[in-house]
Amino acid sequence: MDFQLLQTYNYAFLDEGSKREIRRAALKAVAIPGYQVPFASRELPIGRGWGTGGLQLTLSLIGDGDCLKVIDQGHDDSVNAVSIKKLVQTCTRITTTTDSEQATIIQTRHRIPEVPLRKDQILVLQVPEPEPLRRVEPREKETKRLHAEMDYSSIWLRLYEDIVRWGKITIGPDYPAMANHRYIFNPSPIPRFDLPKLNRAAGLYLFGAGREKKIYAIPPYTDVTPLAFEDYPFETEHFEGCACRLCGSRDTFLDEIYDERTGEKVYQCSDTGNCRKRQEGRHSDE
Amino acid sequence: MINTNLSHFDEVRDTQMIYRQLLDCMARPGKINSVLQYIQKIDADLPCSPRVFMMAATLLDREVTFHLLSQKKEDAVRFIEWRMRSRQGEMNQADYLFIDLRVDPVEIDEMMDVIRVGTLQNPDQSATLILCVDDLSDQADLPLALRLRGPGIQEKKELSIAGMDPEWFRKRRQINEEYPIGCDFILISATGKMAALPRTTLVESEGL
Repeated sequence: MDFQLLQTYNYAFLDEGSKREIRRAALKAVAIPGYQVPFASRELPIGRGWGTGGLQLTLSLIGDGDCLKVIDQGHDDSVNAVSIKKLVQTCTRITTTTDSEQATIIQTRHRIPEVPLRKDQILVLQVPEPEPLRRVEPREKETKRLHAEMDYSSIWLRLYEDIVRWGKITIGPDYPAMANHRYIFNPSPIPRFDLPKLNRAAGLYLFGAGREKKIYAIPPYTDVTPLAFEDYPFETEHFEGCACRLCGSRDTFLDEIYDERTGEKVYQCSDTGNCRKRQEGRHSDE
Repeated sequence: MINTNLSHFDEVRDTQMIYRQLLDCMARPGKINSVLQYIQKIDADLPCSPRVFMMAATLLDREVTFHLLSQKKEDAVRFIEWRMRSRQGEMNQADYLFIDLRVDPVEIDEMMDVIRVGTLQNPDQSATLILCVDDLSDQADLPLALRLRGPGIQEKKELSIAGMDPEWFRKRRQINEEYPIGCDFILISATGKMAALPRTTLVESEGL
């Protein structure tokens, strides 16, 4: 018998039951900002820990008319970002872009685009470790209790010990913050530079941890306060005297790169989509 | 077997679009989104109303339970159970409550006293109420005018409602007092205007 299958898998890869469960969890996550809603993370054609949480959120969201951008550490063209983008495109036929302003959904790992999110855009972040208290407490049952009782003394103590020992807080990326004055959450390993972008933003931020099976959210116009002390305020990374070697930008997050022949240190924008647009803008000005 | 014709409603693509509108409503409390074009695809003579069917198709399956208050309740429940593979549960156990009927304040009190509100450890294990109302407006021109504040709202947001008892909001405030415990409201009119009030939204109003 010769069968010609019309469709070999469901629209957006996941079956409808899986999508509905992820959707229900995401709705609850939005209703309780910063609270980690458990969900039954599905098997996907990429390994857990490679962005499956973000991918499941993206697949549950995406539909006709959407335009997707996927970035990995700010890059549009890294292997993981390209693979995820291709997978979503193959099973939905949506359009993709590298321009963050054209995208309706942006899936990202470890960066938030330089151009602020608009009202009609959703940013999906891939999360390796959703539990901010895991730094101080290994048991899930216990961290759930600490969140329930809003007992955050152990993480404050951890930050205090950092200051006593090192003179400053040593958490770099994935800096814990407070959502809506209630839940401490991990913003995923974005640099501290990106953390203020979550505070009272215009767009919706969804976080998916596939391996840890958690979904959480920061709705628009929600207070997000990085943990800090009065005398040791929150600091972002700064790049005084440095500029991107490609677009000349001085106000974006820069990667430090070494020239492999000369050993010289150079700087380059981490957000490649934005950098390319700036370069094109500069050329057309000349 | 219940005879139905739902050939126009696409349960993959249409529920995705409805979900996106609903997610936007939930993220921006009080914002009214229209889902009229999907309601129009649904047969008006189903055992349940088109808006209930639409929300049930988007949210329900065998993993969750629902409770329905409507006309022709038995037929409607049987239809949703058959169609979505979801089970009707008691009011105090249901994950989703569909209120497609005018309920008097005493019944509202009784219902709101028993619905699931989650626990401090698991606030997500709480009920979502889908309330059918007559009309919604983003100005104060309908009988029940509310001013909203909270996450998802830049400063303040106006929402006014026709066909909803103020008792819902009095009880809602009581239930949601001990945040993060609480319940979430989804309001939907027959003409497909949809708005949501998650538990974080604070309601100020003259009449309350």
